[in-house]
Amino acid sequence: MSAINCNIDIKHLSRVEGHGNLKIRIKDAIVKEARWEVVETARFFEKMLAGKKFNNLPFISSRICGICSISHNLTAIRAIENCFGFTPSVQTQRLRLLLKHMETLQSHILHIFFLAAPDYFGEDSFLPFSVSHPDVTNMALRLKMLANDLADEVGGRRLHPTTPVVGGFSKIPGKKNLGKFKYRLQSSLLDLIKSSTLLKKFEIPQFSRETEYVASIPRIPTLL
Amino acid sequence: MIRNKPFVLNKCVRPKVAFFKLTSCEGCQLQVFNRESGVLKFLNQMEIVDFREAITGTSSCYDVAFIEGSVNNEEQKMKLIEIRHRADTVVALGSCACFGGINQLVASCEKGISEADKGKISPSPKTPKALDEIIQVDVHIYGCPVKKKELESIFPRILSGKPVIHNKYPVCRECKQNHNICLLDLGEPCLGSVTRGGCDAWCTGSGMGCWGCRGPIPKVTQRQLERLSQRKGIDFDSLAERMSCFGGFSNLLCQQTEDLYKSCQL
Repeated sequence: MSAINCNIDIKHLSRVEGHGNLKIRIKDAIVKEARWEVVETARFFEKMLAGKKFNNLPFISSRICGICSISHNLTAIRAIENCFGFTPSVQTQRLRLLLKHMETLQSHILHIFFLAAPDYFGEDSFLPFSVSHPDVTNMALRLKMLANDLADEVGGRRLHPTTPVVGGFSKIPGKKNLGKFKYRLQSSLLDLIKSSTLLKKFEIPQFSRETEYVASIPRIPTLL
Repeated sequence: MIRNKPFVLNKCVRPKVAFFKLTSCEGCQLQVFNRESGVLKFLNQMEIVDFREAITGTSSCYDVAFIEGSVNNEEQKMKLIEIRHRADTVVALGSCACFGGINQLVASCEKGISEADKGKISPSPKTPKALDEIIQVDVHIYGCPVKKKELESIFPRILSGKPVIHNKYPVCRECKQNHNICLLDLGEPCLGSVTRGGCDAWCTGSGMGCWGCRGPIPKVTQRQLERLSQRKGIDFDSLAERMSCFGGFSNLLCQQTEDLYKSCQL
């Protein structure tokens, strides 16, 4: 058998949230090195934030990432509130948690249906996918719209939110509007069930490796 | 100045469009996918040939290039020059591309970064640059993040080669139209009176003072703002801090230092 030597270099993996290069070195048919390189340019947010007024920090730190801007905003708020020893009201905590969940929904729908799903259906990207599977695309767009609209309502904006401030919210959503969203959330259950049945059908290649899972345990039981 | 050529607008020939990201948060690219009700219609106006976040393939042949993010290193600079050579129209998407955005904040605190970090993390962490400091940019789309509605209205103009004219009125006007209470009266620092309108008072509508992410309106001066803040009893420092954040007001702030310098000399 002839020896297999090859190098695989993929610059800027596409259809992932974030930036990464993939480097694989194969010598004599054995993978010698497989590297995942994060090539995002350093932006030195830690230094940028130093010396700024505390109520300006969350707005700046949300710019770390457009996709998870709500998390960056809320964690900065929490850090500042912890510094002051301030506990937000139950209403604020619940609204923040709702906002956070909407970000999770936004991001998951984006990742599953717009970035990953086309691969499982043998399509190149979600644009041809939207032509071949309009029902799935419409369902994904409906769910994404719900998450985005509710994030708009609670956070003021779907990315880089404007209403969460240190101490609470600069504007709270109207009860009437939230009532409408309650109805929309309940009726999205059908779409979510459809999505999960669809996801079950995806054939994911067998891959497991020795992994050490690490997680931090929150000191305060009520998060956010 | 617009130097783009009009494209043939029929169903068979769609312009080839590429999206690129330099140093940024990807938020403006994400906005391209927002406003779900019309997203497919919007995206089908163009043939996307390069969009790392959304499609697999890459291409070196495109008519319009949307570029998000600021130029932070030499590699990005070379890439940008290459894009300029290939594309007929270059569009700066968002505040980072238009003014350096939030990234240019690092310039004011570069002293805090150790030499070891500079070498290790990034090849050359110089002051992040806006696109037009390096190449000629044909169209600017302002905002952090960009407003999808504005993007949708500008795009047909890019295709037909018409000039893109930005609003000359401030955010304040839109804020008043939306019947919001003036935030300056409530003690919240706000740059709405000097910032280019077009965002439909996005932040101010939800009680957050304007940060000037869309840059200044023409003919605005530092002194006007100082007078306004004095009259409304707002600390000018907090306005200046917000002005420095997105880079759009950098010229205005330079003017301030010059003024200070002059007053010291006198």
